[in-house]
Amino acid sequence: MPHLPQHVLKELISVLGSEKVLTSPVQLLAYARNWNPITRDFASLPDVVVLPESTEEVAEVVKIAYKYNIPITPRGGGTSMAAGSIARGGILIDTKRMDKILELDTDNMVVTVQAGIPLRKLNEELAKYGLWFPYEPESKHLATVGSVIALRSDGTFGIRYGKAEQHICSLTIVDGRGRILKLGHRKTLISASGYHLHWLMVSSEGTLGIITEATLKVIPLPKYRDVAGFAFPSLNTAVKAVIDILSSGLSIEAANINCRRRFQFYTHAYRAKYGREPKIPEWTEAVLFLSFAGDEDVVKFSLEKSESIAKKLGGVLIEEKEIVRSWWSSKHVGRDPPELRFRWEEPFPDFKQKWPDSQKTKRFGAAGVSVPPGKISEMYRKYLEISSKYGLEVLGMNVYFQHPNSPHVSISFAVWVGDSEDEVKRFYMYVAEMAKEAVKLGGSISAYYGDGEVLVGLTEIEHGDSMEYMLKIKEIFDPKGILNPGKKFGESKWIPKEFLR
Amino acid sequence: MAEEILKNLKDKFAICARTFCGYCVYDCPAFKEYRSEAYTSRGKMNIGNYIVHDMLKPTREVAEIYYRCTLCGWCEINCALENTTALIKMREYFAEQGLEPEDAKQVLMNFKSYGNIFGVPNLMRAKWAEGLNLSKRGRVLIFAGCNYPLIPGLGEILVKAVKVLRKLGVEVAYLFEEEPCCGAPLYMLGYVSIFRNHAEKVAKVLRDTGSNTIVTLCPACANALRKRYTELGIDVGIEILHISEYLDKLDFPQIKNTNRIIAYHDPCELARHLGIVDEPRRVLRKAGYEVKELWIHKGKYTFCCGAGGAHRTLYPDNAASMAMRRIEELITTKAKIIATSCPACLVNLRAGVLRLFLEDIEVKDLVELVYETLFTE
Repeated sequence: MPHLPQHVLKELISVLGSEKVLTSPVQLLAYARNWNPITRDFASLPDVVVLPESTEEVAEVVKIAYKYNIPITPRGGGTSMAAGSIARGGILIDTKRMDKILELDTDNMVVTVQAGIPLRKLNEELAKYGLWFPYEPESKHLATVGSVIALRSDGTFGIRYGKAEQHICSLTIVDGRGRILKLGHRKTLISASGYHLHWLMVSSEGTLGIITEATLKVIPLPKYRDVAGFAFPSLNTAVKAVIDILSSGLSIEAANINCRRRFQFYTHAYRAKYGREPKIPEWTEAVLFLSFAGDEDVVKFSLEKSESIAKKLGGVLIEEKEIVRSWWSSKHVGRDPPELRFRWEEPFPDFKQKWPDSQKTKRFGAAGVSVPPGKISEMYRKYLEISSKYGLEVLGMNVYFQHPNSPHVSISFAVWVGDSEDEVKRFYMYVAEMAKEAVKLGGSISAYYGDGEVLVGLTEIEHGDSMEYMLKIKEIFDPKGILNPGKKFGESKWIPKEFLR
Repeated sequence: MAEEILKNLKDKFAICARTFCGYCVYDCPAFKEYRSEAYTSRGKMNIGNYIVHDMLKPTREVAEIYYRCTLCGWCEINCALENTTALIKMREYFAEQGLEPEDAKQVLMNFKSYGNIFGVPNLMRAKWAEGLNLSKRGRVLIFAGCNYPLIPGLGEILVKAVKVLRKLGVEVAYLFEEEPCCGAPLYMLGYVSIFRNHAEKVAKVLRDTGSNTIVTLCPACANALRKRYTELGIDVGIEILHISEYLDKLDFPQIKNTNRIIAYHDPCELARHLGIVDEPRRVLRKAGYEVKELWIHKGKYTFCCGAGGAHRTLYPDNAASMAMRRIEELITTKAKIIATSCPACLVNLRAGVLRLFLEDIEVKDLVELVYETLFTE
């Protein structure tokens, strides 16, 4: 592992101050992993962690890195599932000190923030003004604005509000030379001018620039929300139900389809509270959860209407509200303070046990791919087949509807992964094969976690010759290739070579 | 012994390393102060995991990260790993090897020589009660603790507490120099086995008083006597109440609204560790104050002032800097009086106010505020 020369550290300290430059092993070890499955003793360290507080400070750091050819890894909450913020030497920029709201423009319904602010924090502040930034992944407690844009993460409310690109008016970035650039269109989402370079930052994983500020659209907090769950005899009918409900003119706020096992995983809190299994019909293959938000009468009507549509397709309403509540805790509100919840959404007792309880011996690992709506069922069969081929226990599937008013989905195919080197290796073989299968079915190798260090190499399967153009674009923004090296371009450090073809 | 502690925590560290959710990170007061992820619960659990795997040697520098924590329990809101207890066990792990901060050793020495953490004779600790004619035995016993009697300026709050209780018809007894220190700071600093032995003695002293109820103004004492002792299998056998709980049960005379607006800072030990949230608010309202609530960071979601977990004792400068952060939140309510119900919070928030040059903001103890209305009517 390369070590930074003393004079570089001195330069970093001279622009940031010594308290924002960390080099001791214990400090570096706190940044040694991401959320992707790894062995218990895995650690990949940067040479130095810096804690800038402004765009200008980031630019100064990048200028130093540019001068001496030092790799830079930007990091938000560190919950990446594709090792997107794993540093292998060099400078790790922890962006979480850039957490200020710079301007809330209520007349124009936009907010300008520093990119290191976690989404829940942003929404806590916005809620004071009755406003909401409706792009919330489940990792919202720590996932930062910059990182969800850089990964094009999923959001709980994707079927109504979409992914990152739907929310960004403009971005401030620092490119690979340390130059500060403003991308996009100030305070509007609408423009037909120029190239929309701010959209290029979406899922760029810090390989083109480091996002330091963002101007985002906000909307009024809904007055009311309700959630319903439906048991379906097949995956296809559940998907059909979503399509039919959308075409009826209803506006769904959140839609998820779980297989039986994933449903079990998400209802841990119910079991913890009542000491029994949440009851759904024996024949259930898929459980569809829908949320609606708005005025109470509209929400009630929407639920009734969607129930009647679901019924026609063989769907059965889950009558026991506690089951639905425990499930919703998992998806959205389980960890929120009271101000951010609707009355019926009060925290489900024992919710916080879910993660620790479930990760006692093995951990959650997922292949997060997308396939077209008509192929979900086929991909699900492949998932059962491939996971068993690699000896991995199935944890279950969650289908996240992620495009406004359309049935386009991102899917988490999760398995249990043990800590052993062998099992971790098998997990990445599984991820590789799932990714390839998704492309065969007309989908994508990565739906919500970028390519990271994991899927590099497989990107060519998805993009073919256009990778060449991508590399050229990268060179324009980052001529020395110092921005998050090893991500998107290069060879996977996780998937064995023979699996990359 | 140290290795045994690590072995017992190994699985917890592994769970955190697997989960890596980071729900504990952002609002962690130590993270806000010290900036790096190492100081968060996730950071410390993962560092622990690397110590287990022999990838990091326990040193003073590593130990310090575990001591620069207020044990406020924010991390436990979102996590079931009983983080505070685990972090105290890690302090024990370091203390067993003599790696704890020098100031922690000083506290232990004070305790060993004088029976209290300040290192002064216990007679001095009982000085506040002079002239109050308190008896040594009685149905209700006031447990003064160490902070209120020995931090300059806080002794009079105890006097006011006695007067308030008298006015409300309750006569309390006090053990004077025989009152033992509850030992909470020892526990917080990782001297767990010394704390355990001491706690057994304290429990016996208190049991022997024959009192039915112990009332204390100090949330750390209340938490130690009520929860920490129980966790170690020691039962005091007497009802232990914080003053806010006790006052909440008493009938107040009719009090006119004072038109004074208060922002209440929930002490972590009281609100988060003991779940006492509504009682102090009800007491303040009964005493004629209007309690303005913060938007967030209140009740069990309170945000630590920086004093907790012996953090103020070890790192007073950082503690005051954290207090500034908390004061800045509290004054968004526009209240000019910040009330709290903990001696450590009280002095630390006062330090924060001074540092911010906020001349028009007062930080007061709940007892002082109740006293003011009960004795000016």
